[in-house]
Amino acid sequence: MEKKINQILADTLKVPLEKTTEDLTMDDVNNWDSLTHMNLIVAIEGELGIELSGDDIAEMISFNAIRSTVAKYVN
Amino acid sequence: MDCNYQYNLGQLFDKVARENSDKTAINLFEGNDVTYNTVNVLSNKIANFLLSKSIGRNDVVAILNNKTAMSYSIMIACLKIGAVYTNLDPKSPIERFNKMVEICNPKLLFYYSDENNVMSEFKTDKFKSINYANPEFIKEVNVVGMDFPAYNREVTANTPAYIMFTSGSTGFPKGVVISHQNILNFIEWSRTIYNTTTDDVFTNINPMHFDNSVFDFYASLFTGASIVPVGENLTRNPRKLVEALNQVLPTIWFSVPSMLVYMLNMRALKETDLPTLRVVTYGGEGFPKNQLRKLWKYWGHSVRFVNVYGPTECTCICSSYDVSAKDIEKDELLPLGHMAPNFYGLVVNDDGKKVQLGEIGELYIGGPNVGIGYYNDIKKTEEFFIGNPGVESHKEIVYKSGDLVKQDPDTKMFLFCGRKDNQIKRMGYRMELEEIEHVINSIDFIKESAVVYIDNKKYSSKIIACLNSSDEDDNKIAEILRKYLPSYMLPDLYFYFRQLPKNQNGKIDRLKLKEELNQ
Repeated sequence: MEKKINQILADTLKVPLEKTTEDLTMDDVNNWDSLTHMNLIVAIEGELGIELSGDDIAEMISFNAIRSTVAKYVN
Repeated sequence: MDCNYQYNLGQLFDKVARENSDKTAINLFEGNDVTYNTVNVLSNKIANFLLSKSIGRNDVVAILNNKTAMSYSIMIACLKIGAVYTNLDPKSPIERFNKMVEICNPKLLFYYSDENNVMSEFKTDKFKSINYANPEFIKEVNVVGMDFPAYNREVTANTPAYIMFTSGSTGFPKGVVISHQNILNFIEWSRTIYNTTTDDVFTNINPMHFDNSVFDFYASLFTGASIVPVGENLTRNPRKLVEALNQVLPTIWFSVPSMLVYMLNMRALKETDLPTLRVVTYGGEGFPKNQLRKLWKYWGHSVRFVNVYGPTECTCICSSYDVSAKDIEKDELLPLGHMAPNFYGLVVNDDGKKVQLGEIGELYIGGPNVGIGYYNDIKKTEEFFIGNPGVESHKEIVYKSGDLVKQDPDTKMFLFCGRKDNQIKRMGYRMELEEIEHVINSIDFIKESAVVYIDNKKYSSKIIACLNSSDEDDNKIAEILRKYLPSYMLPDLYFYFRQLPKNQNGKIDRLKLKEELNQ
């Protein structure tokens, strides 16, 4: 699952795949704006078949936070 | 200053501030709200400071605006002495920033330090730059006089108030110039349409370099209401934004529909949020009906929905339309509404002749919100700010909007039908696709390019670069474009062609290209 999330991060935020294992935040990634954030959430929900809550989405502002939040839904 | 006749914005602010001196002007999330008196005194001091540096009427002051009491006060200080402020995008790529600076040729640049903003790369010896958050500047401002500047009487109503940059088809952004008179009219219009009172609390979600912020700033601080500055970090996280706004209880919200759609998609809204909200007004692009219906479910019973329309060249807003429950049921896009009172719209054909009611034509706009033109660009100004073709006796200026509209034969309301050129709106940001092409074509390994925008089931709101290139590496091209274009203008997709389709005149055939992409 982690590999899948990393691929989504790389595709939507246009960061090199090897960088996705780090804990980058919204401030670290240049083009992580509201449009790409929406694309990111939509891609995660679509590809992993989950529906995130508004409160959880609000916490998903770093790679690690994304991984741990998604883990709650998938595991 | 005691005067019953306020013919410039400096005088109007001074009057409003004295009438509401202890009232909150700037409503901060972290507490310590700023009163009208504080903003008035601070802006007087900055105005006197600017005068001491020989800056006065018609001189341009550029601002990287971080929506603080200081940055708002700098804007008001400029208005008090007739200096023309321009809020530049702090995150603009350096090449584009340099172009804007070249066009507006400022005498001074106010900035704040932030490692992510353009100041890390910007260099000039043509004018001074001042960090307005620096204690040295605050010290300097504190030693000048705090009286309303007497110089203000020289600020006539036709003095430019601000320059707002927007995308240009020649590869250079265009600086739209708006006068004090334009805005004085706009303020009165907004007060009437929204029944603004001094108890109102306006959100300022729109970035200051974006045209919609004109409403946030002037409709609030020039009517005795208060403004809530919302930083970019918060807008990226909509649930946190709503939670923060729940603390300050806004009454009037203005944003692009994309922002509201974003909040809906991120499930950021709950039924109990923003209980004091009485108006949601939106504009800059169409609101997809399915999303509008969702928002209506939350707020339709208690909040007034107002759809507004207006080009940057006509002071932010020209027409408004109150949405009803009946409109929500229908599938078609909402009308632009009626033109503001004191305003008119002409729908004309390619020869500049009025079309019949119900026929599609280009919208020409006339009235006191029509701006002065494009800064340092007489040619473009004359091309778009022309005499009303129906009036031969004198020059009655109208703005050629490029928007294709038709008028409903019964209600006479305007309905949006598309664009005459290749201008698009995305996330409310207006851009000319040619500006993107211009940058792409300057890359040495690109042989030819066309940029199209498609918003359908296959491509949802996508900017697509169609390229004939000897190097087909998306990332490499995107990396180059990032130096010249803001993120909202970057293509989402890159497609490579051996040759781009041409029409009979040998020009790239965009329609055919779109057809090919849609197959």
